[in-house]
Amino acid sequence: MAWLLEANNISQKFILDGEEELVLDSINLSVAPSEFVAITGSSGSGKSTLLSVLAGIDQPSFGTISIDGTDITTLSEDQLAPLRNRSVGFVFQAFHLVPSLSVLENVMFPAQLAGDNKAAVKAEALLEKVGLTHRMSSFPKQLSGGEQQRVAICRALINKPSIIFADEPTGNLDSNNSKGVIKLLIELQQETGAALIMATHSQTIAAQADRKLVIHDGRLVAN
Amino acid sequence: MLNKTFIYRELRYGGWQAFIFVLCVALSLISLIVVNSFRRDIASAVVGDARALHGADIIVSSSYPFSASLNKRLRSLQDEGVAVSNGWEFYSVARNSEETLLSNIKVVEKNYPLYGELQLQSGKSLRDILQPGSVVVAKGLAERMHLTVGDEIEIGEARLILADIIKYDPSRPVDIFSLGPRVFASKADLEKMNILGQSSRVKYLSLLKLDSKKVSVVEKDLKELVDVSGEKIESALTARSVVKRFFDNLFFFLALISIFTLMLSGIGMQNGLSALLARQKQSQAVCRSLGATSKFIINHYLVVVLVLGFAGAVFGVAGAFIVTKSMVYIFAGLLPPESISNLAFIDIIEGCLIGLAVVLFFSFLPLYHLRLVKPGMIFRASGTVVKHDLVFWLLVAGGSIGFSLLIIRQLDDVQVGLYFMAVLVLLIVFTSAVVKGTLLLFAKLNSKSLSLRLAERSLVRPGNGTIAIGTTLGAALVLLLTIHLVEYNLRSSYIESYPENAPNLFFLDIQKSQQQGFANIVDPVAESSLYPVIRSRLLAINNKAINLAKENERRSDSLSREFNLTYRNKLLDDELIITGESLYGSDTSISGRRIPVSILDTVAEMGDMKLGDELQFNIQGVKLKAIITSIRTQTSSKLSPFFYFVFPPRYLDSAPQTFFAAVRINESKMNETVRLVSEKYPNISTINVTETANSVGNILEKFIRVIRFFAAFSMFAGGLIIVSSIFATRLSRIREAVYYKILGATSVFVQKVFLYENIMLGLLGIMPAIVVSQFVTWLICDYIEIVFRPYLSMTLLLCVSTGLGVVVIGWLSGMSIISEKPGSFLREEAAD
Repeated sequence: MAWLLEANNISQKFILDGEEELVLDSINLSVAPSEFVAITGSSGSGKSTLLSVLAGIDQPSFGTISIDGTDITTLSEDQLAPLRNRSVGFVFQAFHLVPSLSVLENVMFPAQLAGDNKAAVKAEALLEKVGLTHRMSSFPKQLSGGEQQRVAICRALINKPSIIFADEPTGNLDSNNSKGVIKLLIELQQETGAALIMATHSQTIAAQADRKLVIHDGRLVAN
Repeated sequence: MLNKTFIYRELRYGGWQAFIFVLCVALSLISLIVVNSFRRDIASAVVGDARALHGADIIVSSSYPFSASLNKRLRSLQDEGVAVSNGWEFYSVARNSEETLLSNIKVVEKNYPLYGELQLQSGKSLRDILQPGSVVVAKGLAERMHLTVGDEIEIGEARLILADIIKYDPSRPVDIFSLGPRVFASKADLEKMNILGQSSRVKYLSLLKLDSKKVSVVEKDLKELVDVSGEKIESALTARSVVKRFFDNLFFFLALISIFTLMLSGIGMQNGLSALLARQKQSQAVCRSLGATSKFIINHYLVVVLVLGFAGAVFGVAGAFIVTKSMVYIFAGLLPPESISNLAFIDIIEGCLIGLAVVLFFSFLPLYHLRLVKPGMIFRASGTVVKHDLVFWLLVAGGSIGFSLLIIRQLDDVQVGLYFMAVLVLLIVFTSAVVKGTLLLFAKLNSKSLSLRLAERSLVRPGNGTIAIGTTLGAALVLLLTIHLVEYNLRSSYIESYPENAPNLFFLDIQKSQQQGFANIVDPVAESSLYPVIRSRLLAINNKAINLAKENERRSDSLSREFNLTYRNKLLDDELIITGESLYGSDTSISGRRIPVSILDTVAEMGDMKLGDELQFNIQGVKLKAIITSIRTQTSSKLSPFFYFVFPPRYLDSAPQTFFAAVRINESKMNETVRLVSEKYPNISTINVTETANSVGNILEKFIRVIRFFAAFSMFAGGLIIVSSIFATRLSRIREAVYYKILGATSVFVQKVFLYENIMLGLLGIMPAIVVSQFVTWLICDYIEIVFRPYLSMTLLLCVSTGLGVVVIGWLSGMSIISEKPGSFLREEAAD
C-alpha cells in the first residue's frame, strides 16, 4: 500500500530547565490518503508535539518522516515552506489567525503565497461553504471562537492539501460549536479527499475516525 | 499586602523593556540635573552678581555728554554721600611699533569699581596700579600685541605704559562678546588721547553706589531728568547686559532641549512599560482569575515601576556626575573653568523629584490600563473597550497641569511655557494627522506584492498603536532635524556666506573734515566707499511711543537702541526692494510732501512697520518725522554693512554726521593701513572684519558644540523610542512571522514583510518630520533674524539615515524572530 505519510522511529527531546525530557519515544506511524486518523491521549501525553513534528512544524530529534515520498526531516525551514504551503493544512486549537488580516485575507493568504491568481475566488467559495460570507471583511478579533475556527479550516483547505492536521480543533469551543466544527471538518475532508490527522481528547470525535491511535507518555500504546 | 516574590519575578524577567525604561529615566535625569546645575553655576559665578557685573547700583549712560540738569543732580547726589564713579567707554585702535588692535577702552576714575574686584596678575588693586600715564589691559591684548608689563602702547594721541594685566574682570566674566579686548585707562589720560569731542562713539557713564533702600527712589528721580538724546538710567537688576542676555538665550535653548529630552524619555518610558506589561498580560490575567483585585495588580506594578525608576535615578545621578565633570572640556573657550563646579546636592534632589514626577506621569496610563485586564484573557486575548471614568480624567488633568508647571519652571517664563505647550500640542496633532494621512496613503497603495501588502496590513492592524509610534518617532525626528537645520542656517548666515571679495576692514567715525585725509591713506591700497552716518533714536511709530521697557526685554535687537541713519539715492549692490515701487516712491504716492524713508525688512519686522507708516526720530535733539516708502532686504551675510533707515540726501546732509567706510585691503597691507589711519586720526575705529568673522565663527562653533552635546541626549532618547516602539510590537511580529511560516512562507518572505513594515514605520516618522522641522526652523530663523535656507538634501540625508536606523534596529530586533522555529514559539505560547 502507498502511504501518504510515514513516520519511522521518531523521537523528540526537549531541554526543560536544563534537563532533557523525552516527549516522543520511537513512534512509528503510517497514514493512507483520505484516511481520518484520530490521536487521543491524556494531557501532556505528546499529541500536539506528534502533530507538529508530523506536519513539519517541528523537527524530530530522531527518526524520519516522509510526506508524499519526501523525507521532511532532512529539509531546512525554507525547504519545508512549500510543503507547509501546498501539501499540508493545519488547524490549531487556538486558531492562530493572522490578526492584521481580514477573514477573507486570512483564507486567501496560503493561496497567494503559492502564487494562485484565483485566491480570492477560492477563499470566497470556501467561506460561503462555512457560512461566513457576511464576515469576510471582519478581523479575527471581531469573531467568536467558532467563527475563527471555521476560518482556520478554510485557510487549511484553500490549497487543497493532501493531508490536514487538526490539533484539538474544538479545544477552545463550546459543545455546540464543537459539533459544528467537527462536522464541517470531516465533510470538507471527505469532499477534498485529504487525509485528516486529528489530536483530540474527545472519544466521541475519535469514534468518527477511520483509525484511532492512543498516545501515552510519548509512546503509541494502541493502533 | 505586597507579594515580594511576584515583584522580584517581574523585575527579574523584565528583559529589554525594563532596561529601556531604566535608560529613559536615567537619560531624563542626566539632562535635567546637568542643565539645572549648569544654570546654577553660571548664575552664581558669571552673571549672578548683577552689581559686580555692572559695577554699580545705578548706571547712568548716554552716547553724549549728560545734560546740565542730570549733571547737577548727580553732583547733588554725590554731596549727599552717594558714591559716584564717572567713566568713558569707546573703541579705539591700540598700537605699538609692530601691532594694531581694535580695543575697548574704559577710562575710569580712581574709585572704580564700586562693586566687585578687578583681579590683576600682580595681585595689587586697580586703584594702586592705574596711575596717570599707565594702562591695564586684558590678557588677550597683551598676547596678541606681544606686550609685557612696562611696554609702551599708544591709544589716540597718548603714549601709555602697560602697568598690569587683567586676571579677572567682574564686568566681563566671559570675554567672547566684545569686538576688542578691554583696556583700562586713567581719567587723567583721556584728554591726552584726544578722542572725545571728535564725534566719536563714546559711552558716557556714571556709576552710582548707594543704600539699597534708596535705589528705586533715586532711579525714579533720575529717570525724570533724562532728556530726549537717549540718556539711560538703569539699576543693576534691570540693566541689559550682553553676557546676561547671551546666557539667558543659551539657558532658554538648553531648557527647551532638556524638556524635549524629558518628553522623549517619557515617551520611551511609556513605550517600554507598555511593552513590559503587555508581555506579562497572561500572568496578570492569571492573578485576576485567582482573585487578585486590579488594585493589587496596579500596586505591584507600581512598585516595579518605582524600583526601575530608582535604578534609573541611580544611573542618572552617576551619569550627571560624569557629564558635569566633562563640562569643563565642553565649554572650553566659552566659560572660565572655575565657573563650572561639581553637582550640588540640591540639583540631585531636585532632579530626582522631577524625575519621579515624570516617571509617575508617563507610567500612569500603562498602569491605569491594568484595570482592564480580565481573568478571561487567559483563554482569549480579546480587545476591551476602554471606558474612562471621572477619576481617570481628573488624574490626567492633574498630571497635565503638573507637567505644564514643570515646563514653565524649566523655561522660567510663564508665557513662553504656555506657548511651548501650545506648540507641542499643535506639533503632536499635526504630526499625528500626517501619520494618519500617510497610513491612509499606504492603505490605498494596493500593491501587487504580497509581502508589501502584508506589511501595509500589519501597520493598520487594530490596536497596533502605529499612529502613536509614528507620531513619537516623528516628534523625535522633528527635534533632531530642527537642531541640525538651525545649526546649518547659523553657519550659513555668520560664516559661510561671507564672500571672498567682501570688505575686510570697516572704518567708523570718520569726520567730514577727515574724508580727504582718510582717502589719501586708503585709496592707494583699496577702493573705499564712504557712507554717511547720522546717529539717532526712534521715538514713535504712527505716533505711538516706543515702549522702552518692552523693547529692553527682547532677546535680540531692540528698537530702544541708537540707530545709524544714512542718506543716498540708490540701493546698495546687496539690497533689494521687497515692498514699494522705489526707494522713496513718488512724492505724491505715499509720502506726499512728508520726508520719505526706506527701511530694512529686519527692522520692519521688529516694529511691525508697514509701507505708509509714520516714524518719528530724534536726531541729536532735533525731531524728524518720516513716512516709510519702501522696505528693503539684504542678500549678503550678517557681517556686511547695513542700514536700517535710509533717507534722501537733501533731508540729512546737513545733520551732524560721521562717515563709515568698508574696504577690501590686501592682507599684507592691512596692518600698515590701520596704523597710518589710527596715527593720523585716532578717533577712527577700525574693525577687522575677517578677524571678526573668524572670531564669530569660533564662538559659534563652541556654541554649536554645547548645543550638540545637550541635543545628543535628545537624540539618544529618540533612538530609545525607536527601540522601545519596535519592542512594543515585537511579540505580535513574532506571532505573525510564525503564522506566515506555518502557512508556507520562507524566511526571505518574512524578512521582506518586516523590511517593508520597518521602512513604512520609518516613513511615517519622516513624512511629518520633514514638514514640521522646516516650519519650526523657519520660525527660529525668523526669531533670531537670520536668513532661512531649507537644506533639503541635508534634511533628506538625515531622514534617510533615521529611516535606515529604524530599519536596522527593526532588522536586528527581527533577527531572532526570523530564526524562531514555529514549533517552539507555539509551544511557548501554549505554555503561557
